[in-house]
Amino acid sequence: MHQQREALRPMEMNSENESFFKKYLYPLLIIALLSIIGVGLYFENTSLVRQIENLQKLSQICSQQISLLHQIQADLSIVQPSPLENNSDSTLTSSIDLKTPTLHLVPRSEEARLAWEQMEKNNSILEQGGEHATQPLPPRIRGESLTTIFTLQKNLHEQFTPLLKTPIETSLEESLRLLNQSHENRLKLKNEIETLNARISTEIETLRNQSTLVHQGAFGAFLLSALVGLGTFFTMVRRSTDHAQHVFLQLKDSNEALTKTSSALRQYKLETELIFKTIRQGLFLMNRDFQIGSNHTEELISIFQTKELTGMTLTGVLQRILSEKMYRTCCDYLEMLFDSSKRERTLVKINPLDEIEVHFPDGSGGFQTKFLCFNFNRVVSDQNEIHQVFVSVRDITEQIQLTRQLQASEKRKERQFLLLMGILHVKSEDLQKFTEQTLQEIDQINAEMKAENLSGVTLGIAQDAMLRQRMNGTFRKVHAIKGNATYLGLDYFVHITNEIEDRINELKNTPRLSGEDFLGLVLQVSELKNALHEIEDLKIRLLSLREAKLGHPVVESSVTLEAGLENLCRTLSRQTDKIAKIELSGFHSDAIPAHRTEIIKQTLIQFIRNSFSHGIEATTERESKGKDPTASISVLGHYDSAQRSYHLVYRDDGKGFDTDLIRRACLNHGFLTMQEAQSVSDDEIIPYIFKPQVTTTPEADQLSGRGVGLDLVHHQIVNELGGTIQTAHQKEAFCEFRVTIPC
Amino acid sequence: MNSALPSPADYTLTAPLKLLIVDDSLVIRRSIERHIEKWNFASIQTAGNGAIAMEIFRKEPADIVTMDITMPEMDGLSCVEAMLRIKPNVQILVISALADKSTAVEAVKRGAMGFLLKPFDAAKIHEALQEMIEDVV
Repeated sequence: MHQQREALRPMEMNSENESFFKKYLYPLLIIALLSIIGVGLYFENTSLVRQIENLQKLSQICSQQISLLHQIQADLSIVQPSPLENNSDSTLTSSIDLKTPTLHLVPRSEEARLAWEQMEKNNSILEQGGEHATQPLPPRIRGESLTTIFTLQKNLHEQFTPLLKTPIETSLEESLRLLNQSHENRLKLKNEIETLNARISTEIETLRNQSTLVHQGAFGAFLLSALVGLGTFFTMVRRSTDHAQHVFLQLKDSNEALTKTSSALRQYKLETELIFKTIRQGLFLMNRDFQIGSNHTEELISIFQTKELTGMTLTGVLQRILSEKMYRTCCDYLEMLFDSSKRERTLVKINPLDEIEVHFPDGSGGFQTKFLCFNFNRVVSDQNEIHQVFVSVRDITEQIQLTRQLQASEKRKERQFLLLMGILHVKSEDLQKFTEQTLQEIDQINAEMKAENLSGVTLGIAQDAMLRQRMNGTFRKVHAIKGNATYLGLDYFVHITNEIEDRINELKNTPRLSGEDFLGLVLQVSELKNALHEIEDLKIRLLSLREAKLGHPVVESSVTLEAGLENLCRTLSRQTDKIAKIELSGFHSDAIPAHRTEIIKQTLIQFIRNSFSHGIEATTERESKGKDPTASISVLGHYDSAQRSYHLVYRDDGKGFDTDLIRRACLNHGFLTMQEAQSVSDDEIIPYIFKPQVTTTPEADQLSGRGVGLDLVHHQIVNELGGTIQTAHQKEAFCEFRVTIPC
Repeated sequence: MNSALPSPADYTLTAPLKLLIVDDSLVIRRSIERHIEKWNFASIQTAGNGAIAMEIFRKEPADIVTMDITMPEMDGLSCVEAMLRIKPNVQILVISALADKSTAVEAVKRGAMGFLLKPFDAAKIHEALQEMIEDVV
């Protein structure tokens, strides 16, 4: 709207110019005309006034003529007694009273003559029409009067001439007669002059009236002109007022527009403020000095747990809540945000504040941990300069907590998955055997634990010893479960059994045992049991799934013991820094009497695990010794039907038995005294590896190394079945087990 | 993801660039090599530690270097600085398994241009290296 108005303005100006001429030209012309008329009338009036003045003078002359006439008459008709001493001097002896002879007419001839001359002069003025008149009086004024006057005066002159002579020649009587004769002419003359004077006065009056009219006309013209001028002026004023009003309206409009804009701005500001108040994120701009801009969201204050942020720097805030090292890193990082040579995408990747743990004092001397997430975006100017960085910060504590919970549940899920994966690749027959065996072991463990008096009443050293004995039994059983689980690749069970072993080891180091110490163990064992039930459940469901897919019952191809052993070697090679290949050409599981398959399997599992834990060196170590990095394990087996026994030879090409370590272990566990340990030969010390708790690796791991594997094997074969286990070894070359099991 | 884009594995360099892979893990060296084998690098060299890397770099300064941060002999950070002294426009992609970002910040501060967190997949190493290449070309 506003712009349209602006665009229209030049056109308005044009029309204004046109109308300006229209509106001002005519009034100006009228003013000019009126002024000319006015000036004309003024001059006319001036001429009239001059005429009037002239006529007034003429009128005066007329009056003067009459008075001159009277004077002449008086001068000529002075009668006085003749003076005594100068009788003879008396030129005119007249008497009005003729009876008085002493009276003489003594005319003042001189005065009369002068008066006459004056009259003559006046007459010529009258004839001329005025003293300086350029034209005679108009006939309507002059009429016959002047002619009559001149005639009369001429007659009078003739009559007076004798009287004007000095000394007077005529007698008194003559003089009187002449005077009487002239009386009629004088009277006529006087009348005539008065007539003329009257006419002149009339003329004056007429002219005066005219003058008044002209004067008024001129005045009127001027007045009109002035009025028109004024009108025009007022029109102009009005026009300018109109213009002013127009401008005013425009101003008002623009003012309204401004008001609108300003109200829009106010609205915008309010909205911005509202956004800044409600947004659940700390948003602000940061300058090169890391100063926090004054426009920031309300949330920022609660995130930073501060009342006032004005003038504060981000580094200042961070210094309060970060560790010293992290603070330094963040300072470096913030510096780089303003360094245009650093790529922003790279900076986003290395953002040290994208999930930062911070500590706020909680007011009671402690602190509160929060997780904050900062994001930084450069604000780049047209000149590609970075003046500011837009920072957003969120409190992600809840998210982090949720994530952690999720991770925990993920872990649980993972376990279940492991469980599932474990049973998927295990032959259902093996799995069945595993669950049956394990359940049996668990029941035995539980039975042992229940048999104990767990009421907390201690029976002293005797009970402690008994508890330890039972605990060892439990350990052996758990270890056996672990061995089976590793063999079958049931990682979840390996994990749980490992945990139980850890717990037992802890208990072993406890100075005094009580029944209560077993509570945790019982729980762990029950978890094992739960897992077994879960496996059963999963197995059934899987089977039904597979059957549903195949449309017929699943007939499983049995995985041989050989394949299981190869599998174990591969698994252990993957899990350790050792690689071993198992040679089974001399071993056929078909040849094993069925009722000894399990013990032989168990024995071989323990031997393989033992090899990985102790005998076989790491690939790098083997390389440095000049050995093949891949270790070799060989198994030979045959059934001696004559002796009804099964013979097994197990050998690895590792470093052989570490007799020094075995000796030390025997000493540590009190199997040998120092003296005995020093006196026994290497060959004699080796059988001690079958003692419980003798281990030759410093730290226990998942594979073996807890000294129970071989202990268990020995116990079952020698003690339970009446078989034998013999060892042979050569340092850095091999170690060998020769097993005979009666069948 | 976007079928219109050429597969990163088929990315072809427009300039003959030399690549140096520095990592103490053979597996990672091989992995990176395998990921970019079709990219037509003018040469690809590998080094198992910082000292070897510097030896190679001095003889033949590469255009792009992938650098493990924690290595025996000479750590990645020192390497970054030494390489930049020899060839200021070398593009170094720092690869680190460290969850602690301080090292990453330090590396970028010292002049590394890119950062990649271990473990990485094909897409991530492709993207990171392409960024480096774009900056060289």
